[in-house]
Amino acid sequence: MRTATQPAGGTASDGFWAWTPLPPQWIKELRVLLPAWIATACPPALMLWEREWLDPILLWVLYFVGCVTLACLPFGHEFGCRTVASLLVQPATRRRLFLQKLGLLWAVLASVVWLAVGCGWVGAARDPQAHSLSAVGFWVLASAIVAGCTGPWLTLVTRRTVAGIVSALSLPGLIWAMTYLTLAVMAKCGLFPEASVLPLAPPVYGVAMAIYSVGLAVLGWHKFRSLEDLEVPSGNLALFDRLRRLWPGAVVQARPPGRHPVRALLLKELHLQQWTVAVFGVLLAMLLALVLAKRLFMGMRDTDVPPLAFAFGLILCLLAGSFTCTEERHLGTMDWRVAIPLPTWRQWMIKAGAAAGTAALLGVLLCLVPASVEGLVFWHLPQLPLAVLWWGGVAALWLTSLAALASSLCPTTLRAQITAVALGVASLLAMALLHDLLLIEPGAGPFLAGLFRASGLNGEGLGPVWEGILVAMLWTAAAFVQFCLGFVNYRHETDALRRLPAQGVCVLLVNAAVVVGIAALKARF
Amino acid sequence: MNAEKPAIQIEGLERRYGRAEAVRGLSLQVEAGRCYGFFGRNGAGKTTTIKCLLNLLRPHAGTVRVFGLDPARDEVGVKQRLAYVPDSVAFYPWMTVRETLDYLASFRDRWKRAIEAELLARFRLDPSRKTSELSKGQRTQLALVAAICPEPELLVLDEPTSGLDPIVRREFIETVIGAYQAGDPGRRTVFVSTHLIGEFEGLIDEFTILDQGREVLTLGADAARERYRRVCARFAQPPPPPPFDHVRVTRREGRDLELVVTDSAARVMEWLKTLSPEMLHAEALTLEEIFVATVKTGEAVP
Repeated sequence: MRTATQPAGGTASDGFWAWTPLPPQWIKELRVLLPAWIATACPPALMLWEREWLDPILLWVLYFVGCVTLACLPFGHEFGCRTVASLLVQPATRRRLFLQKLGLLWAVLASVVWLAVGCGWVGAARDPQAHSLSAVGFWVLASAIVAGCTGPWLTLVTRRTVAGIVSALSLPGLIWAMTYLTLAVMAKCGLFPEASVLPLAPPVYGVAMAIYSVGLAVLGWHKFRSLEDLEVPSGNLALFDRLRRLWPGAVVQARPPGRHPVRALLLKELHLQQWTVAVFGVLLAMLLALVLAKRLFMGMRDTDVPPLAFAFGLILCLLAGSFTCTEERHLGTMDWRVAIPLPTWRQWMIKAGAAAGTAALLGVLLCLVPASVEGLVFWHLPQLPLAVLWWGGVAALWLTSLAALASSLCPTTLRAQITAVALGVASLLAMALLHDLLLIEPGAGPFLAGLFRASGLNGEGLGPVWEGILVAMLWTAAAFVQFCLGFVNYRHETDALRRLPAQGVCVLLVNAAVVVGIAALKARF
Repeated sequence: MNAEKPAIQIEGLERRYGRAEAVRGLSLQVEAGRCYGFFGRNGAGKTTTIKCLLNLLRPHAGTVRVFGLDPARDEVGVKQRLAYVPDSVAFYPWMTVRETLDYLASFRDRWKRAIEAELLARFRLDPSRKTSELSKGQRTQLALVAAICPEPELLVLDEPTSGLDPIVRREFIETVIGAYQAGDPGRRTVFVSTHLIGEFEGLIDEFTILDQGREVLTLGADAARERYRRVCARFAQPPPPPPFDHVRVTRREGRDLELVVTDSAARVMEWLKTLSPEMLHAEALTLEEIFVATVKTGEAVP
């Protein structure tokens, strides 16, 4: 065993490190960030592809999501791979490990900012009216800085990438709403004229975000310095346990065996949705703050809340569906399904039902609670009950089924969400294109308008009730097929990921069939 | 190099998880060059202690020193001199075996490539395979290779043989650990936490038995074998119960009597001889039997 000692720092023998002069530690970090970097670079690059439906705000949102994902990955992937202990016992100071991770993260974020500003510059050169380079530069830079400062701490606290991402995405929105609410309250108290609220809001929000970002950046370092390798499932909020402790005298009692297995499974599934409930709480607080601010200060635009509530409802559907299987894989409890003496299809029905039910219930609450606080006066949509029914029912079912299908295919929640979004966007694009073709409405206008037409919620008045019911049935059938595909993966988990191409095509065909069905209905009647 | 300092020194260590006390006032000392066993049942606090030792957990009370250094303050100084194999080994799934070793080697000042090649060949690990394709046992083997190649002064092993097949387990314990320590006797220390006490029987110099977060017994292996003995006797008549506190009757059927003696075996033997046994013999307990006897009776620290 006695052999000559070789220096080892930074050596690389073969493999993909052979061609690069970078140290293996840097390569590892960059390898982790690379897929998210590509995804983050896409929205700015799409600015160069001028299309009517490519909304700059949508592109900015996607860019911000990408930046946040990048910021959460350096620590999130260590929790995901369960390599925290392995990293921390290496002979390097925590300061060095932290600075190395953060340094590479900021370098990658800088490259994305540079790319985005470059694309904005090209856009501004093409059309100075539509693109303001200074505005693009500010938002691009500010988004990257906020993400880079807040993502690490939130991931270190939640100990999970996806939890860090949803926290880092939802908290700026909550701060935005609280800023408006605080200013409205202060104006109401006579601290300054009401006319100053709207001009004051952006700089105050900017200061609040600066404090939030710097504070979380500092906390990030402190958290990493004192990081412990706890043997608990990462990302466990213990939300329901905390709620249960609020009940005085809540005692855990042994239940007689063999009774209410469905109830037990349902409770377990609801526990798996703890992050959906947590995000719902943040989003609801944000909407309520906005509504209250509006009540106090009528100068605010009153069209903000309903579209936000709809969008947030979609996010909840995506989260609820994506947690169905990946959360079990994360906890390592997926294999228990074979040991439970209950048919697999029933287990899947409970799983899918709990996810769809949670998404629908929370989505409806997200729409109704702010509306009831406001007294329904600012909801200009004439068909609000139907809209709520639509989002709470059909859309929730469809999107949750898609996310559940992705969850049954993918090993992690983050991948499931990306897959669900990709499948959903591809399906909706195919549906919108088919819709234009089949309903013989060439140049049917913006993409989203086409979707609303497909849903029956085009804001231009509804057709007969039976038509809406039939359309809803078609969508429900598509959701059912998606749930069935998810069941196939749930039952035969081995090599589920290999089914992705075939099942992706299947999803596209099923959703295309919905539009064909709608076209046939319209043509028939 | 603090050669005179103990490799590990723990004084009054306490660590809680919420209300649950994982380690309660543990104290132990491991001299350099020893192979130290750390035994205990599931949930006894072994892994928590090891994590406190490695600065992966912060103690709530007590002090921990490695080579006389505080792992929280002199983290690099400590970690440069030790290697750790956790109970649940994990690697980055996209890396190959080769890439994983290169990545881990990049943290070290020295890394013996010859030992690495030898161990990879011995364990039949293909360097081009992805770590995600390795079985649990193969991942443990890879972790062991990564722990031994930097030739640390202290090797901390937490359940190192779990998941290994019997052949590899034996090879690992006898050849790898044995050869590692023999490479620089007197300087290389092994601190091993394990359930498979029997497998490490020949290597352990000293051990501590932990139960419910508390130290139950600390002894040298030879002293323990000397002190803990199984005595079997057969008499013409059913014998009376032994009048000793430190004796546990493990079998008493008819004329046969089997005792586990935890101290003063000579006195017990004398007493048995006064009963004119037809057959009488005593043998040393194995470390595993000592562990079982100690934990079952909850014997206090001598």
